[in-house]
Amino acid sequence: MRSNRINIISVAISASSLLLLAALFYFQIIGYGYYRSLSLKNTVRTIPLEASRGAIYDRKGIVLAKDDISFNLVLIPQEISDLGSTLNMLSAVTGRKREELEAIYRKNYRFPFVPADIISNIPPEKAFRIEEKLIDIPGALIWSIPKRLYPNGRVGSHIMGYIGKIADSELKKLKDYGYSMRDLVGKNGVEQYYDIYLKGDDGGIQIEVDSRSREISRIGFKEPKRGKDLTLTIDLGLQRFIDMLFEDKKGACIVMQSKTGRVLGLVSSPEFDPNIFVTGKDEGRFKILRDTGCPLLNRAITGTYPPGSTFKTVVACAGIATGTVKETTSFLCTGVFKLGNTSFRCWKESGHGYQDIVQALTHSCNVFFYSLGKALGAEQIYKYALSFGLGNYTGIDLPQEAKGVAPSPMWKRFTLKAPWYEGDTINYSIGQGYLEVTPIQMLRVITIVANNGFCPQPYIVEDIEGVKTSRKREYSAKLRPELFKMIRAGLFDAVNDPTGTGQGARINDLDVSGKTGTAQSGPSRKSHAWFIGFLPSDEPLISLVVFIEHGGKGGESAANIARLIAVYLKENGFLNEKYF
Amino acid sequence: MKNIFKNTDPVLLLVIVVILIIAFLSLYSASHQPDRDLVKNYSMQQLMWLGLTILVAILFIKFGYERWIDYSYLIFTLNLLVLLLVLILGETRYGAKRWIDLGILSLQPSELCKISFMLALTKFVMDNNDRIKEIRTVIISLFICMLPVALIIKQPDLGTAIAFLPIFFVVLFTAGAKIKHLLIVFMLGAGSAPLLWSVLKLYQKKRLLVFLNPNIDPLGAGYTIIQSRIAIGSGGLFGKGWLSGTQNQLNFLPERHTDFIFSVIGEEWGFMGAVILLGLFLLLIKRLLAIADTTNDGRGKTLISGIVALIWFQVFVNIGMTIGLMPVVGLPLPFISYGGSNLLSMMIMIALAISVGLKRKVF
Repeated sequence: MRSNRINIISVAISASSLLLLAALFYFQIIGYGYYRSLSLKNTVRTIPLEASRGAIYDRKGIVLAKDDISFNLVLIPQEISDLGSTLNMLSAVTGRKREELEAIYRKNYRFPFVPADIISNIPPEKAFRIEEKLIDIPGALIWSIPKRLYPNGRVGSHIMGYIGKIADSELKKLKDYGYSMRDLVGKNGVEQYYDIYLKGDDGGIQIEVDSRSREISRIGFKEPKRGKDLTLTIDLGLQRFIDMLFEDKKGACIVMQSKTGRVLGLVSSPEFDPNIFVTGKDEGRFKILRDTGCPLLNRAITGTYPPGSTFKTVVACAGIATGTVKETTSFLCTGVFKLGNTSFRCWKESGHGYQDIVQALTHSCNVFFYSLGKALGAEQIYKYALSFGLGNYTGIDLPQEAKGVAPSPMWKRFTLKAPWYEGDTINYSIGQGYLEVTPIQMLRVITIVANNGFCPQPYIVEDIEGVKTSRKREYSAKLRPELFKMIRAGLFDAVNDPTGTGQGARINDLDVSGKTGTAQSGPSRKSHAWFIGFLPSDEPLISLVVFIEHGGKGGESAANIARLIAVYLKENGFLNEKYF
Repeated sequence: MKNIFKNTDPVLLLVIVVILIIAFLSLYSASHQPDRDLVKNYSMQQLMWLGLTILVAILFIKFGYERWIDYSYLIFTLNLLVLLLVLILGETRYGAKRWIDLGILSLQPSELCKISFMLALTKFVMDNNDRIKEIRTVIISLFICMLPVALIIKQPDLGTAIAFLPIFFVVLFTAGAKIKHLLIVFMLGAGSAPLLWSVLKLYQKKRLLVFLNPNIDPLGAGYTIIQSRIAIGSGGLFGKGWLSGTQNQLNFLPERHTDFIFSVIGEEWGFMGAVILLGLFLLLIKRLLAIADTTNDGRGKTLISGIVALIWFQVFVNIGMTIGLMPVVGLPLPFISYGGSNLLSMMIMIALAISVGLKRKVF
């Protein structure tokens, strides 16, 4: 029986081999003439047709990025009869050195039938003039391909990102997703995060040509498919306004709808002009890459900094949630706090006197928070830092978001191989020491306060070609809503009480709440200035964070910018809009 | 060592040597670039692999196929764990992750899993041979088969995953399962194809669709098929001669040292060459089946049927793919396509078959 089955297998295999044999006979013997003629003349040529990339619009439909036409001078290798003379003629037509042209040609050569770029982005008038002279040069032609254009230049550059030729490392990862060599891919920003939607599908024509490269027949055609358009939550007007406020400053600012997570404006300063990466001029690119201000760094989500006093918001919540402080609890501030032999100072040398929690937030009293922090202990502060989302991503739809550091005694032991001292706890309680946060994390902290315990996931892309991006999940701090009552009273007074530290953000006919921060960043440098806040105070619609690198006192520079933004928002109707 | 040579079918050994020589010549030609030194010569690298795989093969013969079958459950489980690991590690990056990096050499665990699966399945059906007529046995076997298939499809590596199916059917068939049961499983499989379709990645769907119409993607998979057909067709009866294939030498054929190596053979050696290679593969299979026919051990017989099924399936699908009869699923041509994992698994299978043959001689 079994041997019988082995025989059946043997027969089946022999039979199936006949099928292959027949097919090979069909192609190699019967089809020989046809295929031989195709192969002899090298006659199948593929002409790639690049798909244009999807456009990007702001929330009102204003163009932020789109594809334009670019004219490139290309050489089709298999049509060149004599490379030397072709290059000489090209050199005469374009005025470039022959050696230079040859080097570019060698660099961009891929396949005999794929046009190799020689000169990119030729202005249209010049392109037409050159084209007339190319008739006598076989293999050379002007090729029009889509080219990315960012009409607003620097404004919003960190949101947009830029595009560039795919790197080998990226290609390895993305090959299976339909990417190929020399594709342009998004680098950073929305261009990178949503590349798969924006990029479209390249097409091409495959033709059979005769020995003089004339088309005989079309073997295959694939229409290039345009990428999808994105509409952002960003308001270009607001973006431009914030951009102006940051003109001579380094830093970051994010303005978000508190209830929905829509990011209306996101600025990181200094900015860069993404068009420079498109036009292919190396000097401009090198200038950006060498700039000591790191313009490519998105400070709003990738930069991490000590939060300074803005972190007191978190410590205050921890105090209330654990029952360590009540409405009536006060600590005495004499201007200095002693721990063993070490003195920790309040920013006000004469001291604040007796402070309850609302006053302590209003005046940003360090001694109050030293005392509270000591009573809580490092583990409790760490626990609440985590519950406010510090040390974790907000999940905004932009690449390269940083996590920052929410330190704990365990963290210090593992990372720095050192024990945790009580002095570390004291520093921790005013947002100094090992704590590092991104501006967008602080935006989440303040939004949690604004919403009494939750923060929607911040997002930038509203819809992809008319299809809404999926609703993001909400981040919950898992704290009782009542707990925020005293915090909000403190943050209201900080801006609106005549003794508050955040008066710089005060406006007459609009209630703004917020917390300032002046974070030390090394001994000899100016402090970082912070302001986190929301408005209107009672029914918050907008949360914002302002961060100025080495900007001095948060109560001055950062709060001022927050005020100007608040006025802009009010005057431009951002507070009258319907949500959801 | 001497015993191995003395007691092994000389025709079998000779066939393998000839196939390996053809492999070397074809790889040399496929990576031969007179005017450009960018491309490394794959034939030399493959020779290094050959040396290594011969050593492994001898170890497999020495150890004996029976012991491999005895330990097969353990090996198969470990192999599945490695696949899972690859998947988890791969999850953190984009794209397909199939390799384990061993310094200069990298291995595809999915390739070796075909063998450990074959061994485990042989053990299962022979341990339960008294119940082979029950549908239950077939269902459990199918379950064993689906474990690696699911993990490998997820990688995603459609070609390797599909190669598990002929092993499953042929091993159960040889072990004596009811044809009716196997047909039911086959029908179920065909019925659930739409389900499979939904888990495929976009590029895999594209490749399968391109098979139906190369013009869907004339620049990607379609281009490869068109160029491969031109290469093979223009080979004619006697071919253009070694190192003289124009399609090959002019860089028109992508992936020509791996999945599309047969296009190079077809172009340079023509119909005659292709027929000879096909004949060699058939001869190899006949000699392997001859061992299965003469052995007294049911396990050895079943194992060899699985080996034969896999080798022939890969030959058939690979050649079919290069002439556009089969979808481009990414299966290498046994012994010939460039790649250490492919050669290694082929040599191990031959070693196992030789080991079955040696046992027969002892009695």
